[in-house]
Amino acid sequence: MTTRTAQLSNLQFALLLSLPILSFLLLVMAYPMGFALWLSVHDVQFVFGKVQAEYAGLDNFARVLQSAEFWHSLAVSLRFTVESVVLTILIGLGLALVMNMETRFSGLVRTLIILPWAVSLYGTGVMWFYLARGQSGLATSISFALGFDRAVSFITSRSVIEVLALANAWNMAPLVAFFLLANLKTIPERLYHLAEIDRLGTLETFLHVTLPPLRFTLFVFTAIATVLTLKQLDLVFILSRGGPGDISTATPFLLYDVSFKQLLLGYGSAMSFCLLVVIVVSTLGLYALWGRREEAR
Amino acid sequence: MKKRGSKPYGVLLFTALGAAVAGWSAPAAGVSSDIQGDLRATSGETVYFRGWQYKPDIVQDNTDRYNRTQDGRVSYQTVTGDYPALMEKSLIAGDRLDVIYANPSTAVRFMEAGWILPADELPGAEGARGDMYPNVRRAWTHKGKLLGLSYFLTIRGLTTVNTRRLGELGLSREDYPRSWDELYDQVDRLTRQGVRDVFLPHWFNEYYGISWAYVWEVLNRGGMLADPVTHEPRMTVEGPAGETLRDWKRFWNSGAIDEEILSYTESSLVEGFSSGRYLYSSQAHYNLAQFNDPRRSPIAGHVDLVPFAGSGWGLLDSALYLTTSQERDDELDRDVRRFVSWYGYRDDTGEIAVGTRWMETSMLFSAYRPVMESDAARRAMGRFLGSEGMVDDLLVLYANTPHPDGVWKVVWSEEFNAHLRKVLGNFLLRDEPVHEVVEGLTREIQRLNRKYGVS
Repeated sequence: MTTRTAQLSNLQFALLLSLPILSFLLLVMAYPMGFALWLSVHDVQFVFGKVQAEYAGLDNFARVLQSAEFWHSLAVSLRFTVESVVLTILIGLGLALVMNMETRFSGLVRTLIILPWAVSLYGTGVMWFYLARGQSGLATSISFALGFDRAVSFITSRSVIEVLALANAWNMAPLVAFFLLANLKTIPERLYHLAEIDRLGTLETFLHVTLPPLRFTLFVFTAIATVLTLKQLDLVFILSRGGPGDISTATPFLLYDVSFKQLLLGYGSAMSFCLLVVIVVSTLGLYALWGRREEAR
Repeated sequence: MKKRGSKPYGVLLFTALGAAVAGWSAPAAGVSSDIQGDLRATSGETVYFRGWQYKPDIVQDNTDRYNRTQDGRVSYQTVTGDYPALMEKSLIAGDRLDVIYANPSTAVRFMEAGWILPADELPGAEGARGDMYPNVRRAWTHKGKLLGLSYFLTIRGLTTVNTRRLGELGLSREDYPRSWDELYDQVDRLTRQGVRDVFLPHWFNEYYGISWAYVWEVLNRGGMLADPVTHEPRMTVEGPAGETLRDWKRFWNSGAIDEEILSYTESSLVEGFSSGRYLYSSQAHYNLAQFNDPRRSPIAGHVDLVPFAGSGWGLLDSALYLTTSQERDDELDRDVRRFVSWYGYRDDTGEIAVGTRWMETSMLFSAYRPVMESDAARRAMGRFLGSEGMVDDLLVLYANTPHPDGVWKVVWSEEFNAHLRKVLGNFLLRDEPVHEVVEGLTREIQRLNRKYGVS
């Protein structure tokens, strides 16, 4: 009697290994995504937890695309995202460079730098609200200390989105910094010696020695920060509640308002898919413009 | 200067509250001493009690006393954020909730959904009904059923005055405005004279902020947003709904107020007036306790309220303890009802202890006459308000403060409130035309009536 053993192909083996996580993802994502898709093509009346639905085709999507509030919220989201990502990356890079300097206080500095990341978005929102508002804010304290008698508020239609972006970056930048620090530690010391021999200035050394190994990490975190910010609800909810008026109503906050306050579930679901498209297009765009080049290096 | 009276508080309050809100019924029968039987817990199971974040230390202490004296296992936690929306979501999701706070508008919605038990089914309910002021009982009764037991009553939107600032501006009590129109005229005049920080309005960014401010101004001017019985829209551009918007726009465009107000929380509003910067502000009456507390307010002793002079200020704001109708075994269900009764009405000693404590510590009024007509209540009011005359003014104001039945005692109240809040913020920031706002609100009420089959 002969025993036959079947050998798995690489693909089969990879699928087998991935099966648990794929099953898990299917379990936790397929149902909500499927239900959201179903809601988005129905006119849904959500009354006291009971759903009454009538098929509506693409009406909800058409309504979203014709809605001024959606386009306004998207513009807010994009402004918030661009500002957040730029600040996060710049602050993260700066912090990484500071942490890379070996001093007696390196341990303390690293501990202090990681702290903002350990703060919840709720806590971040509350703290920045108090820092930025006129009654108790930092600018007001400075204004009073300088002898002026006017409170200075940044929770205004002109600057509230910048406050949100700064708070968001304050929270995310430490994580970026630590990943960049790990990258910085892999740069051989001799490259800096060679740069000295070549008489490169500080900026040139940074551009030609320090930055190149960080570029892929910077791309990855730009993509991550973009996605996280585009779907950011917590901070907006706590810090500005979409206000003043709807000035800081980013798309996730509008989605919350439409779906959970006004209970327009079909419309809200269609809007959530539109946001999903924006997120996917943004990350694909980033990859096409930047990521592919970094991979090719 | 107007002479302040010194009527007996209890009698005045009884008369005031008994006559307040429209269509008041005759005063209820005498104070009930109905004993609701043994309130000791017997199931050994946990009762889940949730509320918004207001003095949670006091609530926890009350709850601990129940647990200690009645063998209870009540777990109390606060809910942070948009309370009505979060509670509705929790109830839909079937989260374990046994006793919750709610404003009447939320309670009406929850009762329509079948999520709460009428308070008539609680131990001692007859006594609680009998002890309530008729106007409050009426405000809290929906389709013949009592929504819950008394947590607090307040006037939200009364106009407070910083008398120190008043004097500095060469004004006196005689100059107090008698209506919203007069208030805005005075603000306008002072602003044009270069005076800053004249009025701090109640336009903060909570569900009970700017939207409620609009509701009461329309009511105080003799109008209404929706019919109290049919809930059909009743707003017109030329009437109080439009007048209020025109006054708001005039005030906003004068540059007399920081845009920041639209992002305030209630505590920001309270801190703002406590700072002493403002001459007038719209506030909840219980905040007078903070304004007159020297430890927390630099203007303590210099805060007055604008008395009723033919046109009311604000609305009757209140909150209840609701009992959810979630499935529970009989033993636990009895424990839940015992706890609500103990907490929201009379405890095991027969005292309305929790209600009295709120009155004494925080000047939260109660719906129960025995609390409001007690010596302790008199002492507390005198302590918080600083003068007997002010107590009288407050009680007269109570008698003339409306309850917005048209937009609160209806199932769509919360949805409309969320819409109103957004619309009003945009109206100010984007300088939208008054007629568009009034027409838009009218359409929204019509849509909601259709959605829920109202009227």
